[in-house]
Amino acid sequence: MLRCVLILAAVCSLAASEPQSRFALADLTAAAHEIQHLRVTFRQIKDLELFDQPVVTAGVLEISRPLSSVRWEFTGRSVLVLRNDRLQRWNARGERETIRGGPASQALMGQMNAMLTGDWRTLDKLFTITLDPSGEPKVHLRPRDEEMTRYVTEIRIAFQDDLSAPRELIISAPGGDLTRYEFDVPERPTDLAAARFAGP
Amino acid sequence: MNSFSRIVAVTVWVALLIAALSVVTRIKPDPSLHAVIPRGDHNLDREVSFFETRSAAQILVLETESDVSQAAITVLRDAARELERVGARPQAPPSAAAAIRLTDRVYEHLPVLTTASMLTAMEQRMQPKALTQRLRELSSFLLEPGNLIYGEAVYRDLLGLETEVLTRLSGELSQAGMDTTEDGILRHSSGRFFALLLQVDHPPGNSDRTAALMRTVNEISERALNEHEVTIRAIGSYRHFNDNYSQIWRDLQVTLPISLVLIALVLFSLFRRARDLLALHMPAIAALIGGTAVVVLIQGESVPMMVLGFGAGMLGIAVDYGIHMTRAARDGIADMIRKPLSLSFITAASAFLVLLTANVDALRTLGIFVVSGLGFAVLTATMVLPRILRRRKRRDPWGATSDALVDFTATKRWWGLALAIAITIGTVPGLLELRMVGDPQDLDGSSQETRDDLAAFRTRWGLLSGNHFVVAEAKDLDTAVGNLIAAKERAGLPPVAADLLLPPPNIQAQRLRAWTDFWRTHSSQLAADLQVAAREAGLRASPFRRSFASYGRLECPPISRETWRGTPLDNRLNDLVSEQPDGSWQVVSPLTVDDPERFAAIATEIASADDGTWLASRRLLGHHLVDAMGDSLRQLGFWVALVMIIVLVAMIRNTRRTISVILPPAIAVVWTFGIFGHIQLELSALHILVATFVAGVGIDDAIFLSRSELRSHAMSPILATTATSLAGVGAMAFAGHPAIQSVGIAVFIGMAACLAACLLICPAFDRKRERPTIKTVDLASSPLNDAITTRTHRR
Repeated sequence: MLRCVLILAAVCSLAASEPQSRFALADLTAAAHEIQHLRVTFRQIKDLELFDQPVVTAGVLEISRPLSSVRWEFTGRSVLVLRNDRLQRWNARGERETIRGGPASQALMGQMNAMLTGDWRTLDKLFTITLDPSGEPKVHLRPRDEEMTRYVTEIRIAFQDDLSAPRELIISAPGGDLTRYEFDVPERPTDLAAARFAGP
Repeated sequence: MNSFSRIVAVTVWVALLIAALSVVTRIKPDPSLHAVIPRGDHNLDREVSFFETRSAAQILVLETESDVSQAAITVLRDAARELERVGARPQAPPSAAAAIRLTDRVYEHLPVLTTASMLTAMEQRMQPKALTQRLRELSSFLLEPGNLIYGEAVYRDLLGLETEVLTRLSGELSQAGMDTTEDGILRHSSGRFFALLLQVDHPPGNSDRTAALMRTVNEISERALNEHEVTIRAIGSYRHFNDNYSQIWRDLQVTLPISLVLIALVLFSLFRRARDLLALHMPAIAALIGGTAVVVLIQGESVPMMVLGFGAGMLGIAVDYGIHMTRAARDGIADMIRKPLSLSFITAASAFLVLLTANVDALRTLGIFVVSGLGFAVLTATMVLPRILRRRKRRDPWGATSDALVDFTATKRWWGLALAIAITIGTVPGLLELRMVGDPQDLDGSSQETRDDLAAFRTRWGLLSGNHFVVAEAKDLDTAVGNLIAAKERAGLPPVAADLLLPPPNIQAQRLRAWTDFWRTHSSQLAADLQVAAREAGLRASPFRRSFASYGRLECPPISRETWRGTPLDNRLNDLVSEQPDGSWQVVSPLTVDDPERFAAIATEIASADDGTWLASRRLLGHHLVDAMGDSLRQLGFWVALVMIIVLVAMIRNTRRTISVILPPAIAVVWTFGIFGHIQLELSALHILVATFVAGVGIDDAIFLSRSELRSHAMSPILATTATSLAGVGAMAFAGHPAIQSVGIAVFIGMAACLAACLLICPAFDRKRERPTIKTVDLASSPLNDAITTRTHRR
């Protein structure tokens, strides 16, 4: 009897030490499955050593899961579209540009794919992903390879409370360059036209 | 012949064959081309080795065409996984870390990778106006929202030298230079085509594995089309090799049953008894098994495949022995036939013995195979067949035709000779029209679809298939690279690949000196101009202090093979640079020239210096192999003919009869190739072997027809041997493979010419002037002497 009480007490104390709603990466995937279409506006703030002032660019991110597509538009600058595993870019004049294979495009594609599928574990190949110790929906990505740390030291992502999209994304580079995205509250349109993912 | 003797003969024969079979089972057919290379021809040997072993030459490309790119990519990904089982692996795409490592290596070695012309061009870029423009471009680039991690790369190389060097290498980094997916699948600019490069772990000549590989590709293609509406095309030498194998197999499937039926009909119409039909094949069976066993015992278990193929064809002569002896045994004149059969064997064996002096392994093995095979055949024909076949009372089913021919040749022999002369006069001019096959690709059995796919692929993607290379060899890597650079400069070829990535030490030292001189002169001015340009562009100049630290360095680690380890170039360099077993180095550079004239000019230029550089090309390899084989056979041809003549003179010891044996096959060869010239069929090395076969059969026929006492008896067997040869080998004239078809036509014409020449010429050399009176007699019931004088001759 005493043994049973001790075991029960041990189990209860273990359960109590875990927060009730601790964030897990799988929650992002589950949230993504519930949302077919998503639109979220954002601001990109580039704070680079080359410029006296941070450079701010507004934009909109659109995700259509039925079309397996993501449109990442930087208003007045460029449009990136990931569709059927293919990344395309158009410049400010609406001309399509070639995207060379390389670490930057791989990281970018990885990010856009993660937004599309909600499966941020796909970035695991390039980064070590750790969850914020606070248990809030935040992740820290650090490059796995020594070489990559010469270009990017860390990526921090904080997600919306409903996990439908990021709330803030910060990319830190060596030398102090910093790129920050601030996302607004997402909309959930009933549909997004396929034409949105065909180019500007 | 008593039963005991028969049982002993058959038992001994079967026991010998079982013993031989136990040896034959150890055989390992060798598909390598090394066996057909003349000894001492190191150039050809290294060329064959190159294509058999170099991974750079073992590439298969899968190209998809589809309206739905995702489906095409999925299909290629699945295909890559499936094809690993059959030895084809995708060339791994560079990882992010490897790509960064490459830029780092380039950055570290900028002083020794920057050429003099690049430094000159840089002076223009350092002019104040150009510098301002450059800074504006860099700021615009960094402001591009998608460019998130390039700050450090921009700050450390203000003038973009690193990018310039990487761009120069992009020709070599063909995959990196193209639009690729995460899996390394190449995406064509049209968006409709995708390509996956696969490294295959065996050469295309490994027929079994190539067949398995292409079978899997075909299954994948079929599934992709049915399930995803994606068309897959295989591009590369594996498809061409497989097309050839498949065509040969299809030809066999089509022609072999027809041949067998025709041969069976011919033989059945002459013999009409199962025992006879089985018996007449015994010499050929003994020849094949015995010949192969002797080859294995003498030459070892590895036997060139082509020797087995040609040897088996040559041993068709053994069937003739069987036909002659079976007929003779049934007629009760087996003893009489032994001498001509032995003479036929000795002549053929002497001819093939000459091949033992050849400097080509395959020809020596062929000599051993045919001599020993025919030895087994003649022993079986003369020792075994007479013991198992009884004299039998029976009319000759072909008697009417044979008698008519014998009668015609005897009564109209001068007309026959005149006709032979007329045919010779008519065909000789054709010899002047004879042309050798200009391009071995004319003998390529690849399907039209395969050729069209290759042409379309080349138009879309450029030359990706590894067919042509400039190769440099030297004791050390630096010398090899130096020689490669020199050879390519001679040929007016741009530097790519190993010559760009591994500059020799003297060139590196030169570049480092030029680099330090350049920056000593220009650094301070550039720093001042940068301040001005940055102000004009509204930017800070301070981040570029990293560039000055880099440009101002006076030392640089030398570039070696190790420099590129772990970069996306590593695997490519493994393909292009290799240490040979003897410790020397081989460096290759792919050649994307396909115009034959330009190609020939490059070959000449590269070969002009004796520095170990040469051109490796599948096309040239085909030429060289055909030429080498042809040269060997031509040289031997004279000696083969001489030995045959000597043997015939020594054995027959009668000038008139010797001429009557030698002349018909010689004339038949003239007719055959004369007709070839007239109908404009091109000759290849294979036809020289055909000529040997035709001459061999012709001598056999002539040996029998030159003896008037044997002529009437031998006519039906001779007609039968000719008919079976026409049906067996001549049926190849209807094959789809150009090389086989060409051989088939040659044999068809050759065999017909042989028979005609023997019939028209041999009787003219008869000493007796007798007009035969045809009397169909019962051979089986006649005494031996009666049988051989069945046709009585009158003066």
